[in-house]
Amino acid sequence: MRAEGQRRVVAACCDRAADAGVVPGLPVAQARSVLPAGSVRVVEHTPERDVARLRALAVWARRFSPLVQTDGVDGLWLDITGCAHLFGGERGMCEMVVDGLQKLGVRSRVAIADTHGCAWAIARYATPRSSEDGSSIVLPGEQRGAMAPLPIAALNIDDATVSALADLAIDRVGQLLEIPRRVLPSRFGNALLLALDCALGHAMEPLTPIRPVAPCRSESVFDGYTTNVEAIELAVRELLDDVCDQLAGRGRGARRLVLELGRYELDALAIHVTTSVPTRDAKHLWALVRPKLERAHLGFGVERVTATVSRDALIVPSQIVRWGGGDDADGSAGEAEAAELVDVLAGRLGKGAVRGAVLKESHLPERAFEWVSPAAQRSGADIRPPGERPTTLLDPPMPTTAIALTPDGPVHRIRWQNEDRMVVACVGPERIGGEWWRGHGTTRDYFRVRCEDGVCLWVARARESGRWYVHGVWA
Amino acid sequence: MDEADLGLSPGAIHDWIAEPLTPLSILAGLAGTAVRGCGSRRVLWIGRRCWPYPPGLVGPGGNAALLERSIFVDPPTRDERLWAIDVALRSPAALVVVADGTGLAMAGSRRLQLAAEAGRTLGLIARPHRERGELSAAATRWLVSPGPMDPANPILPTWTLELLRRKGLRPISEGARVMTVRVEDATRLVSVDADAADRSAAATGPGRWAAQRSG
Repeated sequence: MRAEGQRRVVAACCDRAADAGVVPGLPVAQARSVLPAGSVRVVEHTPERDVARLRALAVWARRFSPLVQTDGVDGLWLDITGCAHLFGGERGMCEMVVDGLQKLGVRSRVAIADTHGCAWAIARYATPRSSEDGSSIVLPGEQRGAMAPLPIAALNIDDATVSALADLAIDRVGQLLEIPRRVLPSRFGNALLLALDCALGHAMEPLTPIRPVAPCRSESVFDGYTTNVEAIELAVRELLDDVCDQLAGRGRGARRLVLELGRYELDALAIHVTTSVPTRDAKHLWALVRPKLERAHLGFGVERVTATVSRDALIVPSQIVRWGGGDDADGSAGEAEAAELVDVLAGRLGKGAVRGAVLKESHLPERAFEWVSPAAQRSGADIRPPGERPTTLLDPPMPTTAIALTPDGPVHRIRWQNEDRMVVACVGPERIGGEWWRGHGTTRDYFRVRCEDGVCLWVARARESGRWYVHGVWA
Repeated sequence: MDEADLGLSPGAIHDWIAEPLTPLSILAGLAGTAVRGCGSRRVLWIGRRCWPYPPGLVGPGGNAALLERSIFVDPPTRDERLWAIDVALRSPAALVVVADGTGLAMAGSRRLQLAAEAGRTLGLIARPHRERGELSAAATRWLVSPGPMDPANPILPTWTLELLRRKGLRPISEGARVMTVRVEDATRLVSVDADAADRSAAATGPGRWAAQRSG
């Protein structure tokens, strides 16, 4: 499903939905009405994830050919020159590709031709005829014959040209081929001729193959199985140094690191660590790995240790303040240490247990701030609470009884911790309206009071019900 | 009125005893004093009982520096809490560690004191009233109770601090033990009532303590 203005329309659907008459572009509500209730699952369409998936498939497809390029959002080009015989010829290769994709849950149509313009056209527009698995092979030199029955759109040209040709009742490539070449550019521009030439093999079209980046990785192998913890620790520290050097060369930092211990007659043990900000400080990573390594079960010995950065991110270099530093001089170093401390704490206690807080623009006391990750803390620094706030907020507010001299007037007596207390000073009311658009309809009057024994409370009265609450304490 | 850090030395832990709630106004005020003009080191609040209400740290006209440098930590068990306090005190990134020290035994207290020495960190450990008599390795031990009203500004919260113990020292006079402090609305910093303690006390904490003789 994707949003199109105010409407939510179908972006793609499964076979069963398609059989029921759902097509891309149909409003979601309408699609629901034609499908059996309860069987519909609507998910947001995320083009970025499509692109990422396609790239991952391209990396997968490199097993067939070293030159792979992604095509649009749903295609892959493989230059299989000199590769096909490794997979049992072109026919065998087609079967392996279709089969492999099938196992990944991807339906595919495969075509092999001399030119990739032709292969593109056949894969997308030809009805598979040569075999049952949806693949087609165009024999060398037969592009012309294969292309002729296809619609004009198979040339991969823009829609304006397609409709201009349609106006002339030209809707097959074959018809276009019968027109003398020299009249085409004046009417439709060079692009059409170029597309035609590329498809037929008269012009070259280069591929720009993807180059997958191998993750930073370092391995060390012992002479034999060892249970010597010091030796393993030393090896790990060297691996971390090495990985950090590799990261420095790429200008990147680790967000996630996997340490694998190859154990004797046991599965490899993987130790995962995650950092809050990208880092390439070996000491930092060691501080995270060490407690987990100490508790690792080494079995009968470890033969090899591998460190792999499974997720990395760009480290944005910050300007070093050289003159007039004062406060900022140790700023960046302090930040790195703070990130390390946060990671060490979060590594053992869990991510949710280490937080920062930012203030929010809300008058409701319980919604006036928000927990964030400690790394994301500096936003919203210019927000100030609208009034004096206590240092401790009771959540939920504690119901109590109070006496006010006049209905809206200052508090006279208040009950707190099972004791009636005389109020000696009272400031207020500060009226805080509920966020009615969220369903908090109650308006509250807040008083800052000081009891005779020195206890300072933040007292609220719900205007509608007249009930009193203690909501905060200057503890 | 002078802003004060009560003479609390960094590189040590200090026990704070109060009932029923953690004396977060005072602890936040002390953390605020430490944060001013001190790089980018962080303030850690360890244990949910020691988590202040974040808008209360800033105030309407206040300075957001303390909140920006605050990290809130929620260890699930007592052992994890002790570990977290220890790690935080040892870290060069921590400036002040405000922590819930409920149930802290002498051995744990000693461990934290050593950690604070190693990290040159100020550790403020909040403890419940029932643990007033527990042994502790803390450099000082304070008892917090609500203070007398300030006639000039009756609504301003005030506290009476009683210095129960100061490691290696004993009080010369009973007056040296007790002082009245307040937390100013504008700055959120602790200031000592000049009437109750003299100016040197305001700057360095209760001063008239002498070295304790053994035997």
